[in-house]
Amino acid sequence: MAVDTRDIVKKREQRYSYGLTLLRDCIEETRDLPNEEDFFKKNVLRVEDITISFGGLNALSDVNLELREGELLAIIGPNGAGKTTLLNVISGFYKAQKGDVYFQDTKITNYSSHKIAEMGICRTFQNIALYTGLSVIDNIIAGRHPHIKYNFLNGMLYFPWARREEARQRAIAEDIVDFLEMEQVRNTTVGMLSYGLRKRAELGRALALEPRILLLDEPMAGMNLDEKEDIARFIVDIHEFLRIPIVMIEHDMGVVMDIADRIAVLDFGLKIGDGTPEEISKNQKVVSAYLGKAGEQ
Amino acid sequence: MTINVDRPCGTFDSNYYQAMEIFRTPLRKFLMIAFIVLLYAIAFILDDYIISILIVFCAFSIGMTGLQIITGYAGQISLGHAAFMGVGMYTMAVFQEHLGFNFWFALPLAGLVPMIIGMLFGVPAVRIKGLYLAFASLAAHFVIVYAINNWRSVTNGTDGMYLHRPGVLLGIDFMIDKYYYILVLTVTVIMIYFAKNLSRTRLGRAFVAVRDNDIAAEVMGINIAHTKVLAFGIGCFYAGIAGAVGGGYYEYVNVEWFTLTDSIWYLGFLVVGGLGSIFGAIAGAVVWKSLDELSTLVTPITEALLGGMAFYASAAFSLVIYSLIVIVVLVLEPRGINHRWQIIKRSYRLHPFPY
Repeated sequence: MAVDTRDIVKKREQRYSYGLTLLRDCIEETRDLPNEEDFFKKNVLRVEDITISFGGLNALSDVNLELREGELLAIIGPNGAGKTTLLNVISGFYKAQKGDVYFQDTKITNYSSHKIAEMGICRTFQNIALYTGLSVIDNIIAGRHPHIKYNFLNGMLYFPWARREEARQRAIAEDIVDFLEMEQVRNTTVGMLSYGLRKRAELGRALALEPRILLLDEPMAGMNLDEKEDIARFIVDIHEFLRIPIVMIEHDMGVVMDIADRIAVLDFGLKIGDGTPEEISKNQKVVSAYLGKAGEQ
Repeated sequence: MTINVDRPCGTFDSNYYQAMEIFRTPLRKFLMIAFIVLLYAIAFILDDYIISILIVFCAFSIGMTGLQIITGYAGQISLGHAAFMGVGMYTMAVFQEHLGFNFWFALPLAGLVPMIIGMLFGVPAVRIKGLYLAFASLAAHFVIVYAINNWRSVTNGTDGMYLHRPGVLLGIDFMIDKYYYILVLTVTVIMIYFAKNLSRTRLGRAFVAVRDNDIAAEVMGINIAHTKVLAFGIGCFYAGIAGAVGGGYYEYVNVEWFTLTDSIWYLGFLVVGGLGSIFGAIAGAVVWKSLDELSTLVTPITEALLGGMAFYASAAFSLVIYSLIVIVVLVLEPRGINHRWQIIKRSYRLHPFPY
């Protein structure tokens, strides 16, 4: 398995010499990319017994989940199953009533959201949450906020080193823009963009944070086939080229079955299935959750 | 596909430094420099009355830029901005009178003291937003006015205080109005340049991020508590400097000068100018203070028309005209003068074609 992945990574490196290389260099300056030996073995994110309820509604009850190095994990489940709530717990936006979240063996349950983001857990949102007043490129540079190393006085006085740093950040952001094929709209205010492009810009902003783990909340919702294929391609490229483990919530079964290494299924706040796409498609509980009693044969 | 027209046809950026420039074409840069030179030059042509108006324009442009940083960029409403201008004036006066500082040393302090107080009053913004924050920020106004009124040993209470312009420096006598105007203009140009730099660098983007989507900003690694408090701090720094240079012109400061109404007009004319741009802030300040002057100009006319009622009529006139302008702009151009200006620039660039 590991040998296969290495081959793919090499191939990608040759093919995509332009997109994301700068970002990858930038990530490698501060930390090593994960080893292929660890792929599918080492835990990067562990969610233990998460329970959270809103009033009388149990959004999540005793959910356990782990994300391993080099893995593309899809979370599926009917509406209201608690998928987005789980991502919100991981990114520190909701505080779980019970249970803990571990990121590389560090307990991050009580960390504030921005601290978690700085550690490298980056996400996109189901209903786009871009900075509507900024252009695409500025959104992406804004995503680099924790990595920009000058304080506001240097920015205000616009010292040469601040200027140089700005140019460097812009180069990295442009690299991401190139990768996402958004060159024509880079200076357009995101409020004026179409839905599909906004979703892309949001992916770019999450990438700009140099993620260690990427959480994608329905990256393909409401898109047509072309746009879905584009986004799927971006996700797979990011996954393989930057070797980022990805958690993806998605409703499109075709995409999930194609690109996910492992699938976790949530239903009414309970995890009812966890396994490879083949296992999940044969899982009786999952089938009945999706199709009702008719699915049980 | 929307195509962005942010520069004239035929100008391209060939490196990232060009993309980050304030003025993307040499012509624009030249025009701006020419405009600033013109502003300096008219000091030697115009009489003291016009100079006094220009000084007020400059001071309020700085103050309005401060409010633009708080409200336009960071999206936090502040209803105590005039009071922070007052803190700036009083800081200047107190440091000069009690501690013997001269103008040059008191000027940065007149920014820093309101900055610290502003950050203090910005703390509620971490928890609350929108209308609730507006009410919380009202507290700043009342606390500051109360403190100035009652801390007599330092502030002289309602009697007001004297502050002093800088004396002769490098052979320039700042007691003469036109030279003082040049000083104020220089401060204004520098402050506005800094604000522009702020808006295009790290913290400026964080401000806009917090304004547009504070939840996403937090999840994207921006410490919003820190950012909001800093926005208040920097905005109040600007207010303080504005107060200090404005007060320096009158060489006197009184607590009655900055009223709650002023704070509200600050916000109102910020909307008239346009939220979220430095140009909008300056336009708002200039429109506001021009209307002020206009209402003084029409007083003789109202006097002729109304006789003894003129005093009340002219007092009401400015309020009526202010409100009217704010309402008309809100209805016709909710995004302010700045947006209209952008449209004009855009159509100039595209000239023979509509888009």
